[in-house]
Amino acid sequence: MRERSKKEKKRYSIWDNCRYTFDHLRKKKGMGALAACGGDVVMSVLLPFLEAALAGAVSAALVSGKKPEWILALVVGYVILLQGARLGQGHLRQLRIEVLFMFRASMMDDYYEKILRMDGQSLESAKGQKKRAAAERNLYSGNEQGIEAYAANYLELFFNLGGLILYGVIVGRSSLALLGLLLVQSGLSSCFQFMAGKNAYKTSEAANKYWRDFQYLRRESILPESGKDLRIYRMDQWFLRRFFEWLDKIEKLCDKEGTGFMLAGILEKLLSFGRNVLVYGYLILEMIQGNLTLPAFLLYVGIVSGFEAWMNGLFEGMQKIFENEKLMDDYRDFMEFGVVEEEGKLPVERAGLSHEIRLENVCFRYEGNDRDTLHNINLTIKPGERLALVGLNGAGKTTLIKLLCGLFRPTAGNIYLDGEKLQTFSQKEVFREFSVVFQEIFAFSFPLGANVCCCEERDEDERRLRGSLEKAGVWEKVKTLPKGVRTAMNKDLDEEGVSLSGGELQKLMLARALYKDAPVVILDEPTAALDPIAESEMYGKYDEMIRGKTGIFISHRLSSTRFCDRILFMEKGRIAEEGSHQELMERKGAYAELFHLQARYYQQKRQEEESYA
Amino acid sequence: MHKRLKGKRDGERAGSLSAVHRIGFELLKKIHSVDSAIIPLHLLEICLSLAEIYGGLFLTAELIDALLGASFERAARLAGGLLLLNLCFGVAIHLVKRRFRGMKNKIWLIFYIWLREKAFSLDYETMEDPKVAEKILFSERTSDMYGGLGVLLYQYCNIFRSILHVLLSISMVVYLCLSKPVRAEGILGVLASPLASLLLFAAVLVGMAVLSFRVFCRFAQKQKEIFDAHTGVENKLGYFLMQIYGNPKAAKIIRIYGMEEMVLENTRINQEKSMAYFRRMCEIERQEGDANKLVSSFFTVASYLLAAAKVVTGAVTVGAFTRYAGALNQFGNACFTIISSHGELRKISTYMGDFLEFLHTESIHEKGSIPVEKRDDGEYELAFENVSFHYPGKEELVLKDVNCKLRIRGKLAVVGRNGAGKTTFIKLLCRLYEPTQGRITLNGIDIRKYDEEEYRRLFGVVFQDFKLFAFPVWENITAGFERRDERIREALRQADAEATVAKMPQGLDTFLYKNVEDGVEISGGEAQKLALARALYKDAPVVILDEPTAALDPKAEAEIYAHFNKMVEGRTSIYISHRMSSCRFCDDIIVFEDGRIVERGSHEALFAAGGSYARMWNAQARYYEG
Repeated sequence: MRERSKKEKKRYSIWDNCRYTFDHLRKKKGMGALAACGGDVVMSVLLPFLEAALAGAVSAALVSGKKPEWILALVVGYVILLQGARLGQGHLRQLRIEVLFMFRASMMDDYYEKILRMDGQSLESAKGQKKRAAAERNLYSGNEQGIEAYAANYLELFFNLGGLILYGVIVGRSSLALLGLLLVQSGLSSCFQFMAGKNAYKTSEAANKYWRDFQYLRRESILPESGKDLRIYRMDQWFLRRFFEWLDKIEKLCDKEGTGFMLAGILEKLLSFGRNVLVYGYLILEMIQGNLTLPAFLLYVGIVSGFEAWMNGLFEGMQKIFENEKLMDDYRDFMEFGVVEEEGKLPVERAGLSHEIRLENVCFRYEGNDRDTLHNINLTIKPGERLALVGLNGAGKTTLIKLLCGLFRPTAGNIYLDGEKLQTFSQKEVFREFSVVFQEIFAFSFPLGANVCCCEERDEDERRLRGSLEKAGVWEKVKTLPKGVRTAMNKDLDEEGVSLSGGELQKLMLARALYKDAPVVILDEPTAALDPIAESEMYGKYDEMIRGKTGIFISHRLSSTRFCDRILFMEKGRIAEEGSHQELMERKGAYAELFHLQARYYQQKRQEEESYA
Repeated sequence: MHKRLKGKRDGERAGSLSAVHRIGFELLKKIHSVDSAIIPLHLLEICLSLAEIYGGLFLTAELIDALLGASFERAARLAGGLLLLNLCFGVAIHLVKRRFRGMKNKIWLIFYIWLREKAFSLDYETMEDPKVAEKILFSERTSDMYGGLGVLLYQYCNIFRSILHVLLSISMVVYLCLSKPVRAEGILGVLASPLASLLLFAAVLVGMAVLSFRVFCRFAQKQKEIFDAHTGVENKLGYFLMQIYGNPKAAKIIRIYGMEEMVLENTRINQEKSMAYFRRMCEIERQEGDANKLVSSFFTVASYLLAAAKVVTGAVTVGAFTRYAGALNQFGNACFTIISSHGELRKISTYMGDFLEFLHTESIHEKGSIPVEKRDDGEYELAFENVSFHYPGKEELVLKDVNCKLRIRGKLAVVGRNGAGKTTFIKLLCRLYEPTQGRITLNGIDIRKYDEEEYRRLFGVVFQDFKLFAFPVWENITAGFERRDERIREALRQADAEATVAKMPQGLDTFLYKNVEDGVEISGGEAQKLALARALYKDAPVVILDEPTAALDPKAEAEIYAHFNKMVEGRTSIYISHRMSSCRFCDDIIVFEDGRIVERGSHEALFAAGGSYARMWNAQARYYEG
């Protein structure tokens, strides 16, 4: 559905986006913000007019033939008026810039909340990540792109339009032919600018690709982990070659853009030369005939050159609005993407107690894939059972646990928690029943304690924290940290933060799961970074860790199946074999083969030893 | 970090006129070295636009007088001249400015390239120094925020333009002041007399200079105070945005562990700080703008008064009045531009100073000069002699008195607990760090004496955290070396990666990942194999694999084991792993414990010894029994 509606070119009309922007501006920043914007528009029309009229007004006073004191007073009076307008316009413009900046910043709150509140499956999907990245550009592209610029573009459009009308009326009252001339000329030259701008927009789309490439390599080439490879493989030469290649391409494209603007600029100069010849000729003739005074002459000269500026501004405003439309569309598209949990879901009845989890004909397919990642899974996990999930990379193990804990929803089939469909419960409550250690190690740059307790410091249970760190085997390390459990991880949020090694982090992830103390514990590759002794210790403590709970253990180290009641061997999205280690070994199927493959190096040893003996 | 910066500022009196422009000129020189047309073209543009402005002022004044005097023929000629002037200069300026866009981007990007070029050329240890890394990050982030080199050029152009404006307009105004009134009556006559008007003008000028300088200082001080108090918040917000909100890994954990409110609260705290900061900054900017405009109002009013008095007393014509008014206008603006551009330059010079300092950083270690003997027989004997090592800035020894000789063409396994010093051992061997004590030798000579690049040619390493890049496969394999397709294929075959590449749509030219082109995503196992092929392509006599199977499934692991002999054939190899099974196909095992080599020997010997090795072996092997 959504896919289709996106292809229907534009989901939101320009008018709709405009209303959305100013509605939000009013909601976030109040009527005062709108007033500041309005004031800015009015002053931005008035000030250029006063400036254009300066020469005329002053010369009018000078040639008026009044008493010198009067003349001086008039000149000074006008200059004071003008300075007042400058002051007012400057003040209002700054205020408006401030308001719009704050507006963009406050829109970030919505964006943050959206990311946290929307369902994980949509967010995590390739499409979701793409949409999120696109939406981000609306808020984080500075003040020349995105929603802040979009609002400012409308204001520019308004005051340029206002100025055009004001000047049009002034010129039109004296000569409609002159007005026509101005309209044609300024319209034409704006068209040239518009075309050059459009052309530049096209080339900049092409240049943007190189930008992104450049940014990619810029980031990656200086990552600390790249440093070793860089020096061993002389990558510096490779990278620099690429950098200069892109630099060259970007420069060439920019030059192309520049040529376009230059041509438009020259054409515009020629046009305005032609116009000026006509206008000056007309005005001088009028003066010869005595129809025009010098001050009026000067006023018209000012108005005529201002007219073109208004027209250019108008076109430029429109063009910028068109350019920002895409960002607005992307942003709103993301903000309406995904599922927000509906009200009225039930709490989990036997919260905190061991659950029975049943999967019935569960299928799962990632969006855009042409085959199921999980196919027709039927499985009942009994309360307190210890389950091992094994299989090759890509067999669907990680996807299965994401379904189990409610992060993903099955494409087909159902998952039951204690006999009730998982969807009937509130998602938050379901999550509460699971402690999961994901395969990828990820620590927030918060203090270590917050990483384990997952809450604010005031809500932490100190004893439980220490207990879980001890159980996970990382307490000894924590004791050596400068601020103990208050030590921040990494240096992003605290300059005194520390970096833990892979093995230590893995233990920290385990401590997080233990602290939560949920009735279902899922560990996905929790020992990949651990040394043999630590791995063995973890196996030894596994029983104690999950006493009275349901445990699901995923590992490539098949040794881990030895302390599980039941092994699920997955292959290409299905459960291929199922049973205890003993049963599966006797069956001599794929599991047994894999086990032998890994055990061979250990067992051969055994045999040799026996032969030694 | 900021303490450090402040210290520097005070010490050098950075921000002083000379310090700012010393940095500024050095950077301008660097810009000039990139493209020698940039600066001359910018100067030319400035001269042309000034000529247009002042030529226009002059002609307009004459035109007005001609019109007033009703000499319309002259007026028409003047008008024609004025319009032609605008046309010609306008066109010329457009021609000159054609490449400005490209130039702006070029100097913006070249800054990042310079930083990297320097970073690549420094030795690993220097680059790992957090202070150096901070320096890079700081100048890069601030340059991102405020514009960096491009803005520097822009501000210098502003200053140059404004200085010309000031000179031209002052000379015009002085000329105006010197004009003698025709009808010198009363106060006005006195006011319009050359001496009085010169004095008046000088007084207004000095008054304005003093006032605007005070305004500038006051607000610059305020801004600096707020800026200094603010540092860090934006980086923190950047962290939240990139590493938490933009990161699917974080999203899962936040949901399962119910961290939504906590994350949001932490974001909001920083967001509010940031908002408060910007609000204060905007307020100050607004006040500064208002104050500046107020000061300039006095100047403008006074100067119009002066010029009007000259007209009224008949010293100059009405046309001349418009000329002076125009010049005065330019003068006022130019003065402010000089002050504010200088302020901007001062801001730029603080972080660009860091950048220059980084460019002048020297590597800690010497690069060495002895060439490494090229040997076809691969007889490169490496040895550690009493090597101890601690990471810079830390006291704790990671390696303690390590002694060992690597057997030529031997297969060495390195095992030990987390943090026992295995990876450090490799880093020292590859000369990424240098021993704190003792030495490492190649054929009996200290490796530090060899030419660094030649020495590193000896090693093909797959680090635990190896990286591939979003470029074509072939480029990932050849890296900084020449492309030779037969050798690439050979390396792929040895690494057992032929099939992986064969199934890619464009074979060797297929891009990896989606960052640059719409390339292919590869699994951990496939990446591992490509990294291996990269190591083998170098045709290095020593191949090192650090934990190559941690993320692999048993089948992929078994494949690597099975191919290991073929891969390292004829080479010295080192294999680091937590999987004790890997020791089975190595003929020599080193066991690290707490930074020392505690055991060494064959699997059989070590197992029989019943020490550290046997304990680790058993810890893993017992689960595979039966």
